[in-house]
Amino acid sequence: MATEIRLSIEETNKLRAQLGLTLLPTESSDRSITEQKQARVPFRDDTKNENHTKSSLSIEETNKLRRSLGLRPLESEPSELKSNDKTTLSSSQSSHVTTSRKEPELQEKEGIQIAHSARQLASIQDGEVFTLEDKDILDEDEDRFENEKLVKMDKQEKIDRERRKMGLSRSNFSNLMYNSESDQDDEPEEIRAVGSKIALPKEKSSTIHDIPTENVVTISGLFGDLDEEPKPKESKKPPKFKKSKSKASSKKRSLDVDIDQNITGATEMVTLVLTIEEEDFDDIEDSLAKSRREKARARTHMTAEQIAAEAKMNLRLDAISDLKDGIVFDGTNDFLESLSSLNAAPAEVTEESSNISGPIKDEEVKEAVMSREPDEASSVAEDDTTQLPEVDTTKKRSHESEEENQIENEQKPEEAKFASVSSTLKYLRQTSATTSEAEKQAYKVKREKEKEQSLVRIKISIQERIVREELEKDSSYGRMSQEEKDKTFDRVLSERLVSEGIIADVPTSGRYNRYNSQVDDLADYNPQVHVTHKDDKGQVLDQKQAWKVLSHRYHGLAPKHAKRAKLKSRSERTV
Amino acid sequence: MIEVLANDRLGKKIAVKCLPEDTIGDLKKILSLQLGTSHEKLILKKGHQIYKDHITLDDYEVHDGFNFELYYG
Repeated sequence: MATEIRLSIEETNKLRAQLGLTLLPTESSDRSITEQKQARVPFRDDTKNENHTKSSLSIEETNKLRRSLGLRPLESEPSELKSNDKTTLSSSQSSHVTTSRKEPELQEKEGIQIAHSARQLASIQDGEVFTLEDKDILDEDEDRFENEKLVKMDKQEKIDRERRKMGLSRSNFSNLMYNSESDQDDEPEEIRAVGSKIALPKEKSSTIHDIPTENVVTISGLFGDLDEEPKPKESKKPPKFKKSKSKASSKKRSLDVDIDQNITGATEMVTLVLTIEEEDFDDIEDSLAKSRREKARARTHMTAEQIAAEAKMNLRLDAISDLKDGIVFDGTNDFLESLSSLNAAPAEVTEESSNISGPIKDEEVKEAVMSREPDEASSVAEDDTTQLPEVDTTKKRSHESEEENQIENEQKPEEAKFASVSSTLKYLRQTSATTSEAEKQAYKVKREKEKEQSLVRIKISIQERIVREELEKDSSYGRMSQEEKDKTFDRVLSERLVSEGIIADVPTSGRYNRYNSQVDDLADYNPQVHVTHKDDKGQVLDQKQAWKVLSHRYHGLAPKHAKRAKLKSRSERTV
Repeated sequence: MIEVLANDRLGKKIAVKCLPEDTIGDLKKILSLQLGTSHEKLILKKGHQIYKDHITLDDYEVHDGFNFELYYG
């Protein structure tokens, strides 16, 4: 149990005197304490507020204002207001004390200044909180109470006023007059309080246009249009942009599709006319001419190296054109592809007299190529463009050309036959010097392995069939579930394959072991190893001592003299 | 004048008579004289709020019968 220590006032005063604090009031002050306890007044003593001028409305006046605004009147309570000579309150105030805590208390209490006008106070509702106005530390003015909402409203009104003035300063005098009227409205309303001698605080709202209330003629209705809401600004339409018409769109193109007479479909076939205008050709020619001009210009600025490279290129092209027979080697894929065409080109020259018909040059080449090989006589059917009577002529020509080619081949055995891809490859294999014997052997080994694998696969499939047949005959196997069947089948099959020697008995612990056909000879290698550690002097060390020696060596440290002596003595003892 | 209580929950409960204008530091000094501990070591709390020495009881709205939690720091 906590013992409570409680001192009397005298004893407390002694302590306070020691500390240099103000003494507590004695018996009379005790009474005031009890009175204060009963009254339960939250606010502090009023001694500080004696010298201040106060402006506060009485409860009756406040209630009048509140009734006019439609607010609930304040409740009156008996209070212990201290009368102050300087506060000029009406006699009716002293008898009434309101129960509402915040606003009426503020008004009743002496020495309380409010930073708003009575009109503004009338606009606020019950329960509004008043806080102390901000002021500087060095400010010796008395505390004033303010309401946040009213302050905000004040600020907003000021801003609006200034905005209006800014806007109106550019406009004509009539707008100024309008403002003057509005400014007049901002002035506080007259409060008619009969019998009160309250000095209302002067508003600090500064108005530029302090127009006197007297001798002013108010004209209304002239600027009624200004009272209306400002017209919304005409939304600016975005500027219209002209779309630039491209040349392509101006040209008309249409496609011509001939109706196929043989097709009788339900849908109609539309004929479209394809007409490419001559303007396109003009454009192409213009672009070509432009590129030629640019090249000519670039040539003037070319370096000697660039010129030499271009000359080489041109020389090669000249060689190609000069060559009647033979091939100019070019290290590109196109070279190989064009081999057939190049080879056919000289053949064309010889067969020009045969009057081969064909719209396209490639087809002619194909014909000539096909005609050489008797196996490809059926390729005549592929040539859709050639007509039937010409086939016979080509066949005849093929026999003739074969004879010619045989003669040619005998004369020039080294000449390559690039009639087809397979012949080309054969030629390359024969003549290529890059294939080495090692590669050939590797190729052979690979082929052998593939053969082996295929054999193994065949054997496995055979064994699978056999095992399946045997298991199906077993009645217990038939009673098993599908999963069990699969498991037993796998097990039996693997056993069978291992016993037959088709698959090596390789453990499946490794990830890829089951896929390796090679047997690991060292799989069962597990020798018993006994390691003995010896130091420099040949003494046998146990594991711990060996570790210490190793770490000393690694770190470059060594045991101290005493320890070395210990070790020595130990080793001597063991010996 | 108000009377406030300081309880350290270890067996000591002290009632101090003081004025609302007194600061927390003054209160601590009075408590230190009664407890025998230096006033600098005393910490007055209420829940998580720690009362600072330079602020008066009135500003803290400490009323009559207010219970402080006394801690030693």
